[in-house]
Amino acid sequence: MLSYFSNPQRFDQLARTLIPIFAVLALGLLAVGVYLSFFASPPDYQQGETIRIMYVHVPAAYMAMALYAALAAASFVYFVWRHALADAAAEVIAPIGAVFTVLALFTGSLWGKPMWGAWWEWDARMTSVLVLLLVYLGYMALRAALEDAQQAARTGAILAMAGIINLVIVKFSVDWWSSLHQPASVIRLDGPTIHSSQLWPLAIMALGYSFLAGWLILYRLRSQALRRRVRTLQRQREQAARAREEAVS
Amino acid sequence: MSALRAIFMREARLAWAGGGGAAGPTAFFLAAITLAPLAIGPAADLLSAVGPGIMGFAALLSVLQSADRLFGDDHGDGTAELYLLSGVSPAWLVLAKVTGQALATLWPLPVIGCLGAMMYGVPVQPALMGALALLAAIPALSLIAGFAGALAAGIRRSGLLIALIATPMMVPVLIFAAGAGRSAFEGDERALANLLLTAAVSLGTIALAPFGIAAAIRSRLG
Amino acid sequence: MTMQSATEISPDMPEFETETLRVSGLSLARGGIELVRGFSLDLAPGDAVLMSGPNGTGKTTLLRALAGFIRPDAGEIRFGELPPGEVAADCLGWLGHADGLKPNETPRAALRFWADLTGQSRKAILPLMRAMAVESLIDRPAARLSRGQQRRTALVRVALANRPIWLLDEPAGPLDGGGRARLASLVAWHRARGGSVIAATHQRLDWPDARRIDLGAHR
Repeated sequence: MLSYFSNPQRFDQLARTLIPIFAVLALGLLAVGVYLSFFASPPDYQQGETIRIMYVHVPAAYMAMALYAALAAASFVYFVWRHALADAAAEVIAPIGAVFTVLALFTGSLWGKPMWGAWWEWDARMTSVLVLLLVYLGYMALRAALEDAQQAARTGAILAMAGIINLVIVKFSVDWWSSLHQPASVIRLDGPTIHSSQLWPLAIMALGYSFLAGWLILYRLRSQALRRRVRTLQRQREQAARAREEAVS
Repeated sequence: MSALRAIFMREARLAWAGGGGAAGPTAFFLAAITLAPLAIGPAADLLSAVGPGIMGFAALLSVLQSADRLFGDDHGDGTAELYLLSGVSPAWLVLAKVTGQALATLWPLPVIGCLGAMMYGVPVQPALMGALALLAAIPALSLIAGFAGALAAGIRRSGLLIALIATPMMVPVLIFAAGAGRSAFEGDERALANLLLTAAVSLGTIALAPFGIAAAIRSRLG
Repeated sequence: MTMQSATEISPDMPEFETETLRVSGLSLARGGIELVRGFSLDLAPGDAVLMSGPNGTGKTTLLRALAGFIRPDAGEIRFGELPPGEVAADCLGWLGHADGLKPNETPRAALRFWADLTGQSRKAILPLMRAMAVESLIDRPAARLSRGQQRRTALVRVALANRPIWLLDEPAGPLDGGGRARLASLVAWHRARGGSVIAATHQRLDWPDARRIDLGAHR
């Protein structure tokens, strides 16, 4: 399928059809989701109104992780098959994933204040997400530092693939680390039981976030493809001008 | 095999002759553990509680301190191309290189880690456990530093970038290595488990990182 | 300036297996700009090719593609039957832009290392150093050698690897007249053994019956 859409024109066509659909779905689902989470669902018997932060937080954390998985998968596809589209996708996904990670950290911290009595608690999940943010930042910094596009693509792909192995071990080690010093009264962000009245807003918000991410990714992929084409044309024109100069002199 | 011995010996020799051997990481380690109590305060019980953790943390930083040179110099002076055309398997080659470099420059870390922990008021037995864990952590730390260094080779002011890339990868080994000393200090029975996990992470890194480093070197030449 | 004859270089080295190189329809691009299009070349044992062309015409890029560092956009590179990735390491002598020397290392230590790494005898080091007229500098750290002396030492390393096909990027760049003459006789010795050479250069090098290719014409 990927090789089918690696044809730039076909991809452009597909993106142009999907972008408005994703946009409508994302905005619609998020509107419904926000209504359900903030107005139409009951407060939690334990956490009260603060449960509503969870509807923003949990899908953001889920998106942060899912987008990193997508980034690593795209990197793998690029590394093995050298599809330029896969590399473009990886490049575009990274900042979007980083923004969802920041959102997850921020809302987690807001939620932590009433729950833990502190803006930041070094619990296993929050720490893992913080490490995930560092992974995103490292990936983006490496790509930004490499001027040659091909080198940025390959080197970035290697780092992104190493990152997924790393994150699995980080997850395990951080769980282990927090279990060494477990305070008794920690309430986990995803309580073991989710009531069905909470499940609906959560699911709809998660779906809304997914379409939002899809919309942003396709939009940025398209504008990036256009930017690349403009740059190539500019370079070719410069090259032709230089060749003419040389021919004259 | 003699090719790998040649590269191992050369790296150790170059690290001694040109890089000042272990002086860099040692000085950095000592500076870090001297400054930490000045920032934290002299309270004895607090210092002994954070001692094992500070040792792991400072050791990690001192490994990062020289990470830009390991593959950055090869990238800049044309050695990297020659390595890839030498006919020696790149993964083995980088493993021999990192091992030679690590043995020549990082051997004092467990010693300083042990003495430093005792200066912080940690009893001998947990201090030794912490030092042992540092020893077990050195393969993972140096290979991860090498991987980040190979990715960022030749980039201007690559030190910062290397630190950013290597930090998340060093999280597990830091947790286990520092955890070994900490558990031993707190009388937790999981000290040995931490030590074994440190060794496991190092072994896993030895198995995987050379391929990553070789791929990184190649990609930076393309 | 006396021209050294090829027979004066006589290090004790085993024979290598000669290798042919065939390049066909090669296209290379860097950063969205096509540098080389439809480049073809046949290199038989004993051949020498001098590539010239203004800066930025892709001389270095072409050499790096032959060595397998860069993947071509189109075309084929074959050493005998095989692509660069599979054989380059066994048949290429490489001299890049940089000399591959460590500032604190002496030529003696460096060349011994490269001999060991590539599985060659150390016995050839001194005769080759003599051939490039740098044997008196053998125990001086590379940082204290002049650019030309460093280049000569790097050329010794190329010869020491005992590989049939040499790829040389600006081999004569910092060399003086005497150095260029010695380079010419080193190349002649190599070709007499059945080796071949491709060199990128913007200097006029006088190598007997070397083919000259202007890369500027291949765009």
